[in-house]
Amino acid sequence: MAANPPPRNNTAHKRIKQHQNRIYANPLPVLIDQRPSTFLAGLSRFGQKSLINPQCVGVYIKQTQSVWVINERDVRVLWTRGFFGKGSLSRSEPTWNDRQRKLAVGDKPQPTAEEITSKRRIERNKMKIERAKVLSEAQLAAEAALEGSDSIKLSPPMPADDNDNLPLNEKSSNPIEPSSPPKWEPLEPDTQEEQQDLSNAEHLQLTLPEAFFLAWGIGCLKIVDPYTDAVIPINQLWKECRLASMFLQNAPDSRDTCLQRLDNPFLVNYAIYHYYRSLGWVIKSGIKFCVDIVLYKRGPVFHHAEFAVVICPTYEDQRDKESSPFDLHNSDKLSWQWLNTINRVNGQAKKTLILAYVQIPSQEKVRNLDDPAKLLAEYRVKEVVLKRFVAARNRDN
Amino acid sequence: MDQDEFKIAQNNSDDSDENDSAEDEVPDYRQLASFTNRKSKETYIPRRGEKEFEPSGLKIQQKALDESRDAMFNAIDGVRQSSNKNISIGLWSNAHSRASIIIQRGTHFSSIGHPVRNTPSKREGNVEKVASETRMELLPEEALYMVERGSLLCYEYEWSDNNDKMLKLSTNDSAVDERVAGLAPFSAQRAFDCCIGKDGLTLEKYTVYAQLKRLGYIVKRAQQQQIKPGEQPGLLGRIYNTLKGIVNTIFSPIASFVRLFNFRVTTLLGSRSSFLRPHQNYDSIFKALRLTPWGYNDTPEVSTRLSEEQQHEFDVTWDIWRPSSKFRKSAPPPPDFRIVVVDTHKSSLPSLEQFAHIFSHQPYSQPPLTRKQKLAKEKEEKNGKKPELAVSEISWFSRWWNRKQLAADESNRKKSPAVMFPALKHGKRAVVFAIVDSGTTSWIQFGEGQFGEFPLY
Repeated sequence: MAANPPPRNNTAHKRIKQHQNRIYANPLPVLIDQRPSTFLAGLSRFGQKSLINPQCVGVYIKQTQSVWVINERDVRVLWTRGFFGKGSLSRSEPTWNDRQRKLAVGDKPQPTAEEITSKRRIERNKMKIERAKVLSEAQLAAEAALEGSDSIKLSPPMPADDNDNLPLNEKSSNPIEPSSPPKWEPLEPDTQEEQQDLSNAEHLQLTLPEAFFLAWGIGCLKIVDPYTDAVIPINQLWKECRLASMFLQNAPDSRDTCLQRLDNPFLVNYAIYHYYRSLGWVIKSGIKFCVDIVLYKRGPVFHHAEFAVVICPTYEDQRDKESSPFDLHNSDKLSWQWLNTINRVNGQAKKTLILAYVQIPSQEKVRNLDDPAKLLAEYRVKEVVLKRFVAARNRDN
Repeated sequence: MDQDEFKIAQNNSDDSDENDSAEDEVPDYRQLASFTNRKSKETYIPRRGEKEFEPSGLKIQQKALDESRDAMFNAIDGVRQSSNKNISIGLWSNAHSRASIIIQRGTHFSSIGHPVRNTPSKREGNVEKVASETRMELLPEEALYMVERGSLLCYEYEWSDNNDKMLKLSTNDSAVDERVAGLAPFSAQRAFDCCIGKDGLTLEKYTVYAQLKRLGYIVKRAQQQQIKPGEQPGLLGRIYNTLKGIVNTIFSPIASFVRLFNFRVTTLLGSRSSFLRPHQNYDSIFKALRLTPWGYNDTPEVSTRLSEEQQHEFDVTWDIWRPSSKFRKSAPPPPDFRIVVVDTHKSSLPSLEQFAHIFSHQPYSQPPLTRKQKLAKEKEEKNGKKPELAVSEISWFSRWWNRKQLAADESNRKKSPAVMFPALKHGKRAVVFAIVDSGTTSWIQFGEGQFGEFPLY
């Protein structure tokens, strides 16, 4: 569950934990003002605290259907407070700069996530080679014994027994997690000179649901047009996001249809994104696990993703399905083979599979799509949780 | 119990059911040799060996392979025996699709079979046709299972009515031998031939039945209980709802007026997000963001869209109880699990409406206790401590007085990982699907998701 190393050194482990808790203390980019409020503010708000908005800026890149955040402060704010986005040159957290600077200067004692993974892979490989060596040696010894005394009744070789004595063996039993979270937090306040030596070529890329959630839901991200440098107003952004679906393979050819459809893929995905975000889950892509999204409890730094979610759109009105210009994934009948495949993959990665059915409201019922808040209230999420049932293990209460 | 024969088979098929670590292991079949030679019958699970992927060219490997192979052939070769003392005798009628027990032996009947009351006719001239007043009948799956495991010797006989004297229950072996002298006994093949396809029993359903029985579960045909979808709130609940409605109609204009004012203030402050108003903490921000409704509460309306056939496509097939449960045939307790058997070649996943329909017919259930919780509970029971006062036992006044504290306690309890994760993984209501793909079964439990019930903030 927790992705932290075994407590070899308890105090060091604790210190890392505390460090993480401090850096990732806030689940959203906005901060709650802890300063004592003035008399006037206190009067008007009945003790409520005002929020500190980091006012981040992103650029909408139509071609990649993503929003780029380039300013380093904004990148750090969005990553550390809610784990938004992905480094364009990194696996998840934008660490390219740290890795490069380390190569050039060699001053960072704390390894990045990618380095930890590759180190672990090398160690595991070494362990496997050694294990194979010990195994084959045991086999050869048994073979020699067999040759020497063919007539003597021989007990079969039990390489597993030999292996149990190896301290190496216990490492192999650790569950393998492809997207292992980083164990240390490398992003410390930077010293300015170093940054000038090596310019950061990496940016943070946000998916459209992430960007819209930040821009509209939280209100902490301004999104600008790369050509005019003008801030895209929210209602325009709401349109742009839906129009992005026009670039899909099966897409309507008219802008109006695209804007009017309630089964617009962006809307379906956003409804799910917003739903789980609003419940406090951190959401990352689930492509590595054959699913749409994975849910983290506090963030990838703290735990492995506990849940893998497949988005299954369903229509309130079947006629909408027939008239749909989109080819929505998983909206048709799903086969048992498909389910077993996905469940298998996620069972191996110790994740619980969720089928999240999004009920798309009837096109007839909803005419006005301009207000995101009103529109989201028309959708409905129904989950089905999957768990393997092992009859032999459920036998005893 | 002579369940050990099956344990070997179980270990083979169970391979897929073990988790990752066991995945690489296969049973060491050489252990079978010692098993089949054994005289005494004690529970015994063969040790598992290490899987080898390619020939190493070593003699030792070849030797192990040969030994394993021989052991398996020997195991299949072995003659299956059963003592006369444990065999029951029955008659099978194809017309009735039932087996009637003449001689009843063994402990199986505590959970298998159902009593049939006869109506012996008192008319004279019909004296010969008087059978005992109650006898035991077996359903096709029960008869087949008993025959297959060597506990029932079954003869084919078509009885005309319940008073056929052939059906008379007996304890006298020689008398029964005489009675069935002219009849042909069932072979295992004939038993499959006769029982599968009768009374709705498909091969898939039987496969699942037999698998569960071998594990020791008590398995019964599911009673299609009629739980009304969406339980009606009681009288108090209705009164409460009406009152709430009245209060809402009075206060909502005031509330909206206040909201209007609030909105004005925030627009003046220049907030860009409609949610980014002054907030107490993150909890209230997240709460304000929750816009999309969730859950299956709207199902009565949706499930009307299902045809009769679609509604019954995924009816529960078997109700099962754990071996340790206090099961009484006459008054069975609520089942521990409900099993839906599906055939991969004939069906696909239920649609959302079908899921809704399935869940609406299941009772609400709690997630199973974790090992830690179980230990804690046992300890508590040992110490004789009583659990803390249930909420319902506290008077309504103190509940009302402390309502804020109680609500906060409840939301904190829900946030604790020990409560939240089991609940999220189990779901509100759950049903188990046994998905049979040409004889191989995978078991998946489907639960009604309740993420909305357990927000993290």
